[in-house]
Amino acid sequence: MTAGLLILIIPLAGIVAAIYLAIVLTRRSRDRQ
Amino acid sequence: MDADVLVRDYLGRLEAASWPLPADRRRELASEVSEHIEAALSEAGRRDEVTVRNVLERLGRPEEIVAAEDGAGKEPAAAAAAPEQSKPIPAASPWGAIEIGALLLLTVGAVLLPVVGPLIGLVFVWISTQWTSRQKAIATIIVVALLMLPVLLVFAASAGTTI
Repeated sequence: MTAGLLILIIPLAGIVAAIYLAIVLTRRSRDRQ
Repeated sequence: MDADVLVRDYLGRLEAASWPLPADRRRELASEVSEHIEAALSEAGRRDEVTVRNVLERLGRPEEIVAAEDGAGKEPAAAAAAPEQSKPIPAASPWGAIEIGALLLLTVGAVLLPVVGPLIGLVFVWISTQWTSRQKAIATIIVVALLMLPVLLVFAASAGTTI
């Protein structure tokens, strides 16, 4: 149970941050156009 | 972020973007832009992050400088010599190799190299000049907070079994 949560949460940390940063860059490139 | 790191990153991106130019012109361009940055910073009298970012933003993206140099045969350093008068050409995309690398390390890297991958990704994020310090801090907090969650869960589970 705990191991399953670990496997799920560890990649999730990077993925959530990446989604946030990607949104920031996508918005900026849209604003510049 | 250290101002010198920002300048180094900018010059590195300029060098990477200038591959279509002849080698001697590449060196010349890098030297001209570098000299211009130093001149603008000494004129500003400060070398803090905000000042450096402003100077680099006025210069425009390295890709634009190279495109201007490669395409119209225009002297980019001449435009760079008067940053107050020159307006950077609007960039088509803020996505560079560092930004894509950072996002890949945060996503694919997190699966292939748990914990280490996202941490290297964060280093890339902090090296990049495309995100503000606030955005970088938010991304760092997200990663650290979510990575701490399993640690807390393990503690909670072990505490639960010992009681």
